[in-house]
Amino acid sequence: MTLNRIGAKFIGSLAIIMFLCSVTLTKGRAAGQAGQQSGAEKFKPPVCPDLSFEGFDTIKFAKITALQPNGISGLPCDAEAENGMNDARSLQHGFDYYSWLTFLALNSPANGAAIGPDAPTVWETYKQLPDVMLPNGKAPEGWVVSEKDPLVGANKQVPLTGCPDSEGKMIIHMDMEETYNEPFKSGPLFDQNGNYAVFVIFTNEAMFEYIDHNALYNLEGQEGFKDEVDFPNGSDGKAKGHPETTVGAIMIKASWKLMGPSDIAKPKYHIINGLLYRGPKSCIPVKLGLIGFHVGHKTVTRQQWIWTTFEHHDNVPTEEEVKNHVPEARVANENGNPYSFYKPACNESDCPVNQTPDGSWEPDNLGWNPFPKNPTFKSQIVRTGIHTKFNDSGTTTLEDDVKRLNDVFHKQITGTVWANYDLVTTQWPSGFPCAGKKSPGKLPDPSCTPFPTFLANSTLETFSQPLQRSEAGDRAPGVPLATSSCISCHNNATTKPTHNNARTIAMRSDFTYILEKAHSTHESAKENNK
Amino acid sequence: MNDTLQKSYDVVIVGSGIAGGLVALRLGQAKKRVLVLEAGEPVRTNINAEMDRFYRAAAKVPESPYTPDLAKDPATVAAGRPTVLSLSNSEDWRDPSKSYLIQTGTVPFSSTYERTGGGTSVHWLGTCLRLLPADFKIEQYQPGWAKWPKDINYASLEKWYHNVEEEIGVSGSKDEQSYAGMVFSHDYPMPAIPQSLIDQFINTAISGLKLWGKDLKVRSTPAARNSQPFKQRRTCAGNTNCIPICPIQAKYDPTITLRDAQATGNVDFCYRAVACEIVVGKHERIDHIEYWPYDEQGKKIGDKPVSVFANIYVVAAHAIETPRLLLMSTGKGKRPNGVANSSGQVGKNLMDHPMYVPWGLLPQSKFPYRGPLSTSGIEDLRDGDFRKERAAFRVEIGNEGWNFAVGGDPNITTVDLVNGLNNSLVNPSYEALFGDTLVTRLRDVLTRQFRLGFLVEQEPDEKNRVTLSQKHTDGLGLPRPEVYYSLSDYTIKGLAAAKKTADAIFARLNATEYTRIPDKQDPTAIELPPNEAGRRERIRFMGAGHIIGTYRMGDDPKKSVVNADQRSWDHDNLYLIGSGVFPTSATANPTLTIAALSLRTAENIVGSLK
Amino acid sequence: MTEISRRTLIAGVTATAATAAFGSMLISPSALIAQPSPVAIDPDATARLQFKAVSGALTGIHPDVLVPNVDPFGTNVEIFAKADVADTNTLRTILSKFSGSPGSPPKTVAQILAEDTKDESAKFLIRSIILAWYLGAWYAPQDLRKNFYGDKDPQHSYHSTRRYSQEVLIPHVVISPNAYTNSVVWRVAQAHPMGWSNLQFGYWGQEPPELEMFTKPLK
Repeated sequence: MTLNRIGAKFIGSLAIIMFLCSVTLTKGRAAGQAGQQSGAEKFKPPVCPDLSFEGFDTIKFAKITALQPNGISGLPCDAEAENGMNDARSLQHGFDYYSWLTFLALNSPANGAAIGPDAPTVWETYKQLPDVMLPNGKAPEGWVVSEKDPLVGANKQVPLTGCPDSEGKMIIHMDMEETYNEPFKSGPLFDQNGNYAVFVIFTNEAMFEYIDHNALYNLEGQEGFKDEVDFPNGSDGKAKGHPETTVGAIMIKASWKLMGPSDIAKPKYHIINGLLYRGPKSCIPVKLGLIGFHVGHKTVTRQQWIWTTFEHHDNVPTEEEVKNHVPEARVANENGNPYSFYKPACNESDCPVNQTPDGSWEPDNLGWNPFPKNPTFKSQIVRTGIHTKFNDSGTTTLEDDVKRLNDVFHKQITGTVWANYDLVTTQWPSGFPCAGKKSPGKLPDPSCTPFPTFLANSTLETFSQPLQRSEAGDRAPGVPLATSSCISCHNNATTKPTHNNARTIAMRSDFTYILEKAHSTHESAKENNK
Repeated sequence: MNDTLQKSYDVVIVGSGIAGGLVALRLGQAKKRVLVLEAGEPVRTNINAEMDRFYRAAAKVPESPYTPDLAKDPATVAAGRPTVLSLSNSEDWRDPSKSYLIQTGTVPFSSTYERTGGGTSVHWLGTCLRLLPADFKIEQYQPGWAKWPKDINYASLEKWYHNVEEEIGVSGSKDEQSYAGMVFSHDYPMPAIPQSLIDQFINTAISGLKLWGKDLKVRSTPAARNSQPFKQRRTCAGNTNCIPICPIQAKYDPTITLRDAQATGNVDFCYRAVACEIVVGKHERIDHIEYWPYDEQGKKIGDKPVSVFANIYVVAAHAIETPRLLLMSTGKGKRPNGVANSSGQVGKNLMDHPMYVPWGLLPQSKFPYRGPLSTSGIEDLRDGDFRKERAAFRVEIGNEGWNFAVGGDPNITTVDLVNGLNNSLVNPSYEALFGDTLVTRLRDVLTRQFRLGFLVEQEPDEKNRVTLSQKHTDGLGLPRPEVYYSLSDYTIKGLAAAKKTADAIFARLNATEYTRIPDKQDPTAIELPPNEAGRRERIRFMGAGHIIGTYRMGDDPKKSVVNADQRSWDHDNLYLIGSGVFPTSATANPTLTIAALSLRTAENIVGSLK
Repeated sequence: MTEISRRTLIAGVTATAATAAFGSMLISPSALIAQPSPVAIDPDATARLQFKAVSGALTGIHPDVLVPNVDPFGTNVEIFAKADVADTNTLRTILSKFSGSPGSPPKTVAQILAEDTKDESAKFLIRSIILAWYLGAWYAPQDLRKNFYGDKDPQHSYHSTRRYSQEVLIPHVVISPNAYTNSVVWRVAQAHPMGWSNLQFGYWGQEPPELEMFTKPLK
């Protein structure tokens, strides 16, 4: 079966979902919300493509073509991901396909055009973490939707003091450790120019409204919240017992690389204008290129959320590629080092693989002029994988299937920057009916058996990737709990009640660490410890 | 790493455990140039390797995640240490090819330590009890014992306790902890860890139980374990694995402080660097420290040790390696007693908390193997007039069933019921089960398992000491520590009181006891004095992992090694920190006090460097 | 004691397939063949299916809990391999007796054990398999046998050996981290493997879910 080729323009073929907001518009502390309106998306039932797995040659792009005038996906389509299938390989395929739809939907131009020439994306109009969790636990500004399209935001960032106007630039909060130090302070990432990779976290409207409506944006609010945290579910109306259709909560984490002139010259990255900010009068305008992209999406049948991640093709080589001297070949073919976080043909003692630097990596220690830069250390990163075999299908690995799916999708978007991004894989809770159940306290395993067990983005979970082959030997490279797994790690997330109140207890926060980043209404309080 | 060292530092610290780590952090924050020398392996980028070792360990002993390799002959290991495995039978503890310590007593010194980045507290439980006001004034009960310095008492240390609780993150409730005269200037930074079902059950059962004039109650134990997100670390998820390693670092361990020290930009680390000589120069000041570097295979690098220079030197190598280093520093024979030893007390007064561990089955299922290894204890017997006659103790309640008590449950009980054995004593008819019958039977046993732990104060005794072995060396050719250990009558009477308490609690619980009576020949068997019925009972004691007393602090330079600031009487630019400075052991787990004293000393050192 | 034979299991499979879109089911060999794209057919696939069923009977844990439909761990593959290397003949005999064959009705575990009087190889291999599932560690049949017929007096095993003595008495090797984190003794205890908890802060102050939630598939 031939694939539809639409040339340089992407099909733009994913249906719009309109979200009928059930959230009340009145908020107790809403005084001062002049002119803001919460999202009142009108919801059209999504049209999801057939995601069933009959081989990579049979992916029905024709159906996708018919769906989408405006570039927003038919999310969620996870029920279609299952479509009566029950073997690991088919299910994984369904979820990976679904992840690609998600990626394209969220990265579609915010102005409503189809994917094509690089443009600001839909998700960049959402709210980022520091605009939700404000100093002094202040209530955030309400969500503003675009007049043209209610799935697109028109949110303003919280203005900076002592810095030029940030209009049109994404503020990168270097005053927040999470921006340059990976989770749990596991380490920074320095590119081949010595620049930090920087990380940002965004929420969509549904997720934001839940936080806002329930006053979870400060610690006192979290302490006072008596229910179980339960973010809104996405539903496409197809799951049994769930005829409703809603987008549900989506959270995003992106990693960016500071673009140098040579990066900008070859149009391989999605590039935005950013503003590095480290305090009053400490701002530096920069160009940023997208290098990593995480999406977590909560749906009615996946109470543990669906987790996907994408990487730019030039981030790092895989272990296999290093073994097969692919980096050296690329240097020869591409006239120079193509990788952002790897130096080909550098030995282990000069370039220790997947290690954090000795010495301090704090921006203040590294110097802030012209921008924080590590003068002596560049991260040498290799993507280590698990090579999950599907037990019931012999020798095919999950990675093999993803690669083929990537090739198929890349062909559809060839000529755009998005063709340079690869799906790594999707992690989804595989225990049924576990994955559809609320009340995790009643379950022996509230994580519901994530599949695959481990998942890491080499730019976002750089230091908790599986063991390298040289270290693992004939042992499995993934170590339970120590090696990155979206669901297992996020399963540990809790709220953060105020400083030492014996009546309150940290509660599960429904798979997000965003809540614990809230501040106390008493800014000097020790809860705001870093 | 060794070639990037500076010519000279403000401070060189030997040992990267909790004491050395906290001093390094404070000095680094004060912009002093610091070098930390660590005998063992570096702190890694992640804990993949440690977790992998742990999961694969057949015997999940405290040292199981950590290096060096447990199987090697200590004579071939560059930075060896004692292991629980070498204590696990009656022969190995005295076999130098198995035991790193050369033990010369009839009673084994039963505690171990690590030599690795982060120190021994990488596998601590996390218990953060403060010493009691009365502990600092033990002379009221025992006028003959060494006294704590005048300037070190509960009131003067209180602010440092608070300081360290904020620094490392301790969960607790000041209301619950305000007993035995303890007062709190602030509450704990995080709320107390919730009690387990077993804690709750015991608390109900002992309501009204009064012993030695004290009403007993179950209190949550303050712990360096997150009861909410803290300093970018996760909330406890009850992995029930604090010892040997928390998979999510919800339990504080000193590698966190080492990372923070590194982040100041002012602290260098030199791993696989075994300090071997402290060299004294003019005016009895320390001139430099020498260390042997070794490589990843454990082989010495170079043919002579490396020297490092600083204004001030801090030794924080725990209470066996610190005296070992001091005693080794003879200046090629010029100082036969070593460094800092004009009092002759270096290495002496070695103490532990001998621990009595009874175990049994509760009358109903209360579901052990859940939650942190311990969440509560009974603290009411830590102080009282009885300390005139016998040692005090605290009671730790275990949440891990018989895992600690029999060493390896649920494995032992499971193998019993599958292979028709009876090592756990729950299978006297030697049944071998499978299927539903196995499930029912095993569930019944496992869900009712519980154990207590009585940590008994040990009397200081000069005889109990660390010296250098004349015969046995380590992989670097350095003399290994030789240890003589014994228990005094005072301590044994404390163990007897512990047994009596245990019996009373078990009776209240209506529990069935399964504690094994050790054989007479068992070197850890203790014959108790005759009890009220006139019988002499025999119990086993275990080590609590608390190594105390071997370079004690005091106000008299003739009788102590350091002063109240943990500074050597003999060398004014030498500090010796850690539990080796405690003149008495009291009944609290020592780590919080180690840390509080370390922060206090750090402030002194910063002041003296201005 | 209810036995789970392959027959009852497949009956259950058919029922679930009819009702649920996300049933947790066995993959029957025919479903494997129906897979798209080139897939190597594993010659031991059938044996492992039988092994799943036998393991259910041996452990008392429902087979679909031991080997869920979507199984990221493959613990059964590991344990099967261990048993196969240890004593392939005895293993295959057990499987074939349990599953039955043309002219030979399936036997229960009790019957298999009762028949195994001569060299007792089935008896001890079965024990190794049970312990592998329960503890994630391989206790070799010959070691179990030696211990079973040795001096079983607990006073003797305790004397001169102390804590961790079991490791000296019956050597065993952890099969893999995954085998440990999936070991089922913790299910029977209504807890979780020490060092691997997916539970939530504070859970230990509350009663655990009932035993059935741990030993049978969730409804």
